[in-house]
Amino acid sequence: MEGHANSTDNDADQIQLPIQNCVITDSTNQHSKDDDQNQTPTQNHLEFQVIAPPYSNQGSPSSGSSFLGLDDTFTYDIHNAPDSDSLLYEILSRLPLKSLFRLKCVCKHWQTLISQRSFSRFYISRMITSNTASSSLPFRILYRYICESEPEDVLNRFRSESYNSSGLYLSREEHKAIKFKVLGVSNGLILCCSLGPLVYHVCNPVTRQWVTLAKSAKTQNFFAEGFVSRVNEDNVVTGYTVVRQEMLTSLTDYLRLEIFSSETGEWVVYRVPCPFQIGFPKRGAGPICFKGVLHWFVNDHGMVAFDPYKDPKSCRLIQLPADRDVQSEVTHDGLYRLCDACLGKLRLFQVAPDASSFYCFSMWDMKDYDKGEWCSEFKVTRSDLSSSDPELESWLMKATFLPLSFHPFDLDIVYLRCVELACLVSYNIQNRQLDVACKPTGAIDDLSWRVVVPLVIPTWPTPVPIPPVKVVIPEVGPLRVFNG
Amino acid sequence: MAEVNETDQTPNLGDSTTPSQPKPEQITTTNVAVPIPDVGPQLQVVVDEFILKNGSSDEEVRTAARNDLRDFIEREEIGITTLLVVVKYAHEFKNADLLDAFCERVADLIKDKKVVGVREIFGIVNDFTPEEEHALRDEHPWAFED
Repeated sequence: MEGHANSTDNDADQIQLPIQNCVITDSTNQHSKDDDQNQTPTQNHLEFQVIAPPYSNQGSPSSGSSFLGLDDTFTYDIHNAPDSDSLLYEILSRLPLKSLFRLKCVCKHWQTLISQRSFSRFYISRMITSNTASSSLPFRILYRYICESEPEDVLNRFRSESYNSSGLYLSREEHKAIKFKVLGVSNGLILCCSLGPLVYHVCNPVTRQWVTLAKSAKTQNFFAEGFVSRVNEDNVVTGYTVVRQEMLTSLTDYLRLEIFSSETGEWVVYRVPCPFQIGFPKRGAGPICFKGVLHWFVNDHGMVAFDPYKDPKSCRLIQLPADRDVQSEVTHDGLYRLCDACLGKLRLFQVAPDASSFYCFSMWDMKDYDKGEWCSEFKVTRSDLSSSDPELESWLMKATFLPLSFHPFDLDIVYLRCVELACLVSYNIQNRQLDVACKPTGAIDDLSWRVVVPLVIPTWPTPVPIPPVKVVIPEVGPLRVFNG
Repeated sequence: MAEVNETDQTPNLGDSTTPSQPKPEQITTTNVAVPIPDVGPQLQVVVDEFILKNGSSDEEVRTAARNDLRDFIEREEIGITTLLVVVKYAHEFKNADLLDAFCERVADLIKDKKVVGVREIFGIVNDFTPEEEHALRDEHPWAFED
């Protein structure tokens, strides 16, 4: 068993360190040694910053400064180093957000440095570039329905600390009433609604700010809501809109929309004419957001696209790839087709429901958005697939896979649900390998792309714009006087 | 002799990039030795070995080198003073991977510390008035929870 580093190098004449000659800094508790029984308690886990002790040049018994091997009056003063700010950037940018903002209180220099725009840009870009392939940025494939009834508890569900290391976690409580539904995520803000009565809220999972939106007049009908926000050059959200689309059961020539803007604080109704008659799928799901444009799925035509920030209000129909399996899409109401924005691409991933189909997985990327042109990326058969998990390997030729979500930062990974094994699997596009990603807790029989949303913890805390509230003076009725 | 995988890795200056992992543009990794005059010989040896292995074209060797370095730093409980010395020289010699390993360790050591503790570690004097510090805490209450 390895002892302290000093004991391998030096003689035993420097075991005890007179405490009064040292500045004792905080202990590094997380890496405790278990072989220190014979030493004084103060010497366990302590890191000494030796300032002016009378020691020989062999160094002191502390594990840290024995590596200095130099005159013991040396202290490295990071603040007087010529490149100190640059070094502080490197160190502070590796802190989690909570620690970083807490350490603004260390001194004015640190506060200024952390608040600088150049620092937040450095922090964000470092997070993104250093983590893209290793995927250690926290994210979760979130089940949209939440059983908590208080905002505080809902916010706790979004906490990055509760994510496990693999980044994928799914759980669902059974036998509990659903109180909240996550509708959309945009630039670090989450749009959710509380059910019964329907009220919308926008919240920031990092700062825990919670803003409730004004109620709309309409509450009864079935809606699919989209959430779009805009950011300035500092990645601070300047405003957002919520677009509710009435999911009519019959064919229609118009989109019936209700739009809430954080700038006005009001809901406004719009009827937007469609180039063709459209019909919505029976089991509608929220729209996807690509380049700030919302896309709802419609039968036969593919998607109807609407940009809430474009005036005059208009919509456009975008076809889905012609060589996809349209029949299964109709039969299963789009259950086996995942279409979403992924790292700046619009991507469609389709799974063949029938194990005997020739191709199992097919994928397309949108190549020209203005023209609505797709490009087929691949089609693979079941025999092309492999897995390192023996049980999964044995099921590859016959299992039922349902697509769930793309990986938020890795263009090579798609998450699916394996029905028979009741687990989540990841599919690697490059090596065509399927691996078990997690085994969710709770019932997952309705688990499909419709009921999950990838949640990425934002790289920088942004305040939630608070919409202006219209002050309505209530009519005062006749005064009633109560006796006694 | 390990096979050289010619398709992926060019024998190079230790740039450990896979296609989907862009490097931060401000520093480039080089295979140059980083002399650290202010630390003892043992650490210098470990750093030299890391740099050597990190320049390998075999990704497994590089990964092992990084893990070995991390394990060493943790196991020997190297103090922040020493860590900062290495950080300084790694930055000067533009060795991104060395810088990364040591900065990460420094960040790890301070991330859960109270503000007071961090001041002690860096030898910083608090130049906030109590009112100013209070106002700062109120600005970001979420950072001070738990």
